[in-house]
Amino acid sequence: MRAIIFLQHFRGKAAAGILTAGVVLLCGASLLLPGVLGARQEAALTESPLPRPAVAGLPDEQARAIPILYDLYRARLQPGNFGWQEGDASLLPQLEQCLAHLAEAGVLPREMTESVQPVLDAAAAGEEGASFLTQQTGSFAGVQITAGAGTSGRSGPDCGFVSAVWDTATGGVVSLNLSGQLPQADPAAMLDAWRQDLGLDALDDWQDEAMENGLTSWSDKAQVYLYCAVEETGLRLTMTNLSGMDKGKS
Amino acid sequence: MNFAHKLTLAVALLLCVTLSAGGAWTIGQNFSAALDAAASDAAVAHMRERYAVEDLLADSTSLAGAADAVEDYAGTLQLSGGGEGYRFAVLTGEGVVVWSDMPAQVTFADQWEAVQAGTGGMLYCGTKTARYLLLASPLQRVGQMEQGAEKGLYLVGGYDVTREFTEHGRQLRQYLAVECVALVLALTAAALLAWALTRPLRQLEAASRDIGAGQYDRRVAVSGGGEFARLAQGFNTMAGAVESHMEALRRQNESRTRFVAAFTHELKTPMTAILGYADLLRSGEQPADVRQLAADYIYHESARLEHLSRELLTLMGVEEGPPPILQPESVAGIFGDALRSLPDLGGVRLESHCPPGAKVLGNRALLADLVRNLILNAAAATAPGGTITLCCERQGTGWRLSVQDNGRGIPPEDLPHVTEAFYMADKSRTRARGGSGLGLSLCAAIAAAHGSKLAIESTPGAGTCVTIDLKDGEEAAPCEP
Repeated sequence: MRAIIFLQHFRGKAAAGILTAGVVLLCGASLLLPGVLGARQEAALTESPLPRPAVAGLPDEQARAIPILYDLYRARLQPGNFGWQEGDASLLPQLEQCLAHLAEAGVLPREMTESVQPVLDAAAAGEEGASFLTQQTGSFAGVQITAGAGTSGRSGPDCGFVSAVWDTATGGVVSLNLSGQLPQADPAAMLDAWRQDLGLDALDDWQDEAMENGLTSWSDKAQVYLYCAVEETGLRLTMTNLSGMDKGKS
Repeated sequence: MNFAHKLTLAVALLLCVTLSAGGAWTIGQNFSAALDAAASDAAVAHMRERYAVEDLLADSTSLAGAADAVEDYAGTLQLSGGGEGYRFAVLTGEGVVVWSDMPAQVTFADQWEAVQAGTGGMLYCGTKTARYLLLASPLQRVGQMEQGAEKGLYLVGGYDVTREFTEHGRQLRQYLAVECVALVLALTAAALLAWALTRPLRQLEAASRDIGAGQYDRRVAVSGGGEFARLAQGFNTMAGAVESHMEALRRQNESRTRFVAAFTHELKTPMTAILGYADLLRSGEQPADVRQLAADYIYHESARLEHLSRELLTLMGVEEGPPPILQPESVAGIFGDALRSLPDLGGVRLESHCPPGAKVLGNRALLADLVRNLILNAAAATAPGGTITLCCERQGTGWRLSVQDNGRGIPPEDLPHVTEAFYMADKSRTRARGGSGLGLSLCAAIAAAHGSKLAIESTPGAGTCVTIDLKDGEEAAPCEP
């Protein structure tokens, strides 16, 4: 009987000891759990490539495939700005090529390009009072010419100021500003032709909006704002790269 | 295993698992968030760098020229202080390194894997001391290389994320230390709380042991109003009941012992006389006067035995038999039955007072026996010329029957015991008149069978009054008590 009681007592103590040891082991294992899971998490990071987070504010992939848009967006991210500096006539031939290209593409009426030519000639000849401003940002170049006082003898519509920025890689004009007495033109037709020339008609989300003397057009995919205005005293074509945040602030 | 021990272990395990799981999840989430933020910043920076390098290589026509241009750019970047923790390499699509300032921890295999991952992927690499995030993108719209880059050029950017990994490790170590401290504190608190909570149980256990050892008056303290307090109250109630039962059993046992002892003695005395005188007669011819004496003793002692057995049977029938049926009985009838059965009282005067029509709820035969025994006892204690008064009077809604004498009374020390079986205040006088000591026991048993009890008041030298209260029999129906 005593032996039975002793065995029962011993069995009870042994069970208590085993249970305590088991709990201690489980607690110890639990304490190590964060470290083990942390090491596993770190190991999993290096096992294989992971998805790259998307960059917010990028134009649509289809839009980025269009060269002029790619160059424009890339230029926007470069340090510096489209700052005009005093220059010379070295970019004049490229400007003439751009204007001729715009005429061939149907963007500018031929009469308009002809009315600009005297200003270019006068500037190239170093006429008194003419001034040159140039800029280079990424693959974009620009020229700004102000005609001198001595531009007499010209017939037809008169132009006293020419400013243009174009992508040297694609030849696409992203900004054109002509001031002076110019022949009339249809802004909508000009905008369509310009869009087509730049390859932007591949995008299907252009939203046109009529304005006084002009037309604007916006594409969410391209994040680009097109502006075309024609007045008696001037013509303006502008393409601006804006993110969704910037739209409406210009 | 103690309940306190189990409780402590359970708390410890639950706390440990909860803290560990919660900590692992929280630290993991923080680490992921930190890496996500670093990766987002790296993706934006990589895009800018890619455009810068594309611009740089827009007019390049050879890999050597491209390498020079990139080296100049890297130098400018370093001088300007930009790109802290940023390393990059330019590779061709054929796997040739055009230019690289990647650290030793970033192998070519890592860089090539990043190129293979494309613009939608990224790669973590490095060692425990230096971790880098690699992003690779093809360089677009760069100059047409003369040879060696038919599959294009790739920019691989390496962004130092060692700080995020180091912070992760630091948080894990810190959490482990905090968890250990918290566990020790919680274990201590749990052990103390368990010990305090189980203190009432230990007190109950000790009290149970003491009661088991015979301390029936042992109780536990009751405090508060919760479950343990109710348990303690219940335990005390149970202990009180056990104590009462044990006391009743003890008294019952003592009573039985005394009864057996007294009965044996009462039996032995007459039997001894009977056997003695019978033996005398058997021993030989005896003179006539001796024979008469022996015969008288044998007869009287036998009669005493017969009376004793009859009274004992009656007492046992009342105490242990089925309860008597009680019904309305006339008190006058009961008194009459008792008076008619009385022997000569030896000069003692008997008076009876009973209102006409008085009825009690009772058993007529038993009540007549009760009255007869009380009168006989009163007569034994009263000298010739004394008076015994038998009375019935209203007592509340019932009736009180009383037998009063002006005899010698009962000594105070004998009064509590007079209803015990075989108890005799004056043994010699009782035996002389043939008494057995069962008379008042029988009266007390009859009173108990009627739901009442004998009340005895006595003044030595002045007399004794015995009363019994009975229910009115006028309005009650026959019933058992």
